[in-house]
Amino acid sequence: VTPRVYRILLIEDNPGDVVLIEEALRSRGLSYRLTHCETVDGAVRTVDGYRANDGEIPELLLLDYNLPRGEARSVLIAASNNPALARVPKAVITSSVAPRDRDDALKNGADSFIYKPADLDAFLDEVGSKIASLLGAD
Amino acid sequence: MSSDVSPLSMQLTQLATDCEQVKILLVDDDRDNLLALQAVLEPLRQELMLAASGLDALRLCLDNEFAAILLDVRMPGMDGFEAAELIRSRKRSRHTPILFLTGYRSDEQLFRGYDLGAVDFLFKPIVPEILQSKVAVFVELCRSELLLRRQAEALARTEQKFRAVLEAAPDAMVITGDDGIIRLANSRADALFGYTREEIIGLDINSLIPEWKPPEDDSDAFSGLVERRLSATRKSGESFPIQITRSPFESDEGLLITTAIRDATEQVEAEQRIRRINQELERRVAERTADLTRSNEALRQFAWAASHDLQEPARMVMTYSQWMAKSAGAKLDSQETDMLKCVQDNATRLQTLLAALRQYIYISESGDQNWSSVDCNIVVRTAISHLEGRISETSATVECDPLPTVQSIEILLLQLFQNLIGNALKYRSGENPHVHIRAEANNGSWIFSIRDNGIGIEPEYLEYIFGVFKRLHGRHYSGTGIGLAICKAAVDRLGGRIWVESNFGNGSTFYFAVPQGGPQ
Repeated sequence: VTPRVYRILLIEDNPGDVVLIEEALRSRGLSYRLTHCETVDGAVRTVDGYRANDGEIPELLLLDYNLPRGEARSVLIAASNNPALARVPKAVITSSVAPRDRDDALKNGADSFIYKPADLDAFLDEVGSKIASLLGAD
Repeated sequence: MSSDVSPLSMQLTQLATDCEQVKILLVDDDRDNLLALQAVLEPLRQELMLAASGLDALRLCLDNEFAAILLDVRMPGMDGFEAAELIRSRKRSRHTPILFLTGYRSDEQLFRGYDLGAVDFLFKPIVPEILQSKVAVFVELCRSELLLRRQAEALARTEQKFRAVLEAAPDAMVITGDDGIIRLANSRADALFGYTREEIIGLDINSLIPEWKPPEDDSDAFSGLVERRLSATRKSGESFPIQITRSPFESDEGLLITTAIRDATEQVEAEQRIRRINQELERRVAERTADLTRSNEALRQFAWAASHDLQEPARMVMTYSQWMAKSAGAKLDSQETDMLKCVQDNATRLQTLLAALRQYIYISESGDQNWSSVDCNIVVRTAISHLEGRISETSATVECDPLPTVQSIEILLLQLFQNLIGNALKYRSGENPHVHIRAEANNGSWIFSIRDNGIGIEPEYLEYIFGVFKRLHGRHYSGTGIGLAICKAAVDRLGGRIWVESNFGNGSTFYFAVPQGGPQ
């Protein structure tokens, strides 16, 4: 049985976090194909480029909300405006616990919120389980 | 004196005794006639001077002033008319009444006599009563004139004194009737308005001070000095500011009003200067305030950005040092393990500090917290439940008197109680910690106190402890040094104040006071 490979669009500017997120996926035993955008512009272009019935449409959009202030929002808005992504879960991943940031993300089209703990094990557990749940792989 | 003294003579006598004597000159070449005249006029009790010739009469007129001169017409040498002419020609005696005595009536004589200024003729033989009463009239006239002259002199002296007072006054002074017409002015007034004395007297004061009015009513008048700031006009038409005081007084001439006028040009200029300086100061304060507001806002943003942006690298250091420890753990020697642990500990500490700083900023920022009715008993119970672990670890007792319900922001009160109780547990002495919480109403405020039996605070630190990152103790006591700064920020937001009393080694009592009425 060939394992299911999940398509994930990751928008994250911190390489340390990219490695950690991949480690969290691996530690869950998930196979994945990652499209990684490092910049907001690249992310918006990628998001705008998806078309319906496009075999490349991701099954999960993961967006670091700690991108330079306000800019992560424009990626969310672009994703929400593309009908091809209507059914794709959009998760914001952040180390911020400020209710203000969470509310802002939810208001702009995020439908879940993943917290990045500082503790390694907590990170792998929290991020891994949330992603698995969003992919329906748990 | 004769026994048949008439009522007139009595009056005359009375008059004579009442007043000082005046002089009467009797002129006749006949000594008997002179003596007879003297005898008749004696009852008038005036000073009678006798002259036997026109020349004698003239001589006496040089040195004396007479109420009347009785002059015999027919005399050898210089006759009465010639004498009268010469008497009249002298300034001093020009107006002295002359009565001619003559033996016969002739129209020619009469005309000549009246021409020479005679006031009357008496025909011989003299009837004593007529002579007496005629002379008495002149005596009376003379006296009245004297009296008038003295009164005039007295008035002049009074006016001189008055004028001296006016002149000595430091201000321009103008005296008007209630019609506003100037009756009197001092030289300062002349100079101030640019008029001569002659010009200013009789002017309407409104031509100098258009807004001048007599004091309006009794209360105004009796209050006397009423100071006003007005505008005045010089003769040249130039306007200038003045300050006046008016003071009314009743006089023989009716109500008079003294108006003292002070040139207020310098005062007005000084006021304008002060106003300009004040405006300049206000402008500078506003500028400085704007600068401070800007730099405060910049600092606030910097602190916010720092506390948020440093969070990510701190988290990375933390996570990766753990990963390193996990994956390389077995390969590291004990020194390397310690080094890695040091990295982890400091990353943890950095994170704690940043979290505290973010909390401080959150508490300090106005806005998103809501005022409501808060039961402090519940807040303290919540704070205690959050601290439960440390309370049982330290075998502490927390005692709480009944507390009020206040208009406040619950999260800030919770922060306050939790930080202050937490501090009491942290800075404990050898004994088991005992914390006592109370509240009392005082002067429109609620004063809450949190007393402990801990190590206390040295007096020199009392004023520093509410600052950010002010830690009095080293790493022996864990903490961020920001807890009390957060308390202060919270109390500031609640419009209150916070302070501490402590005897070093003998516990501390933290107080915070908040207005009973809620937000101000």
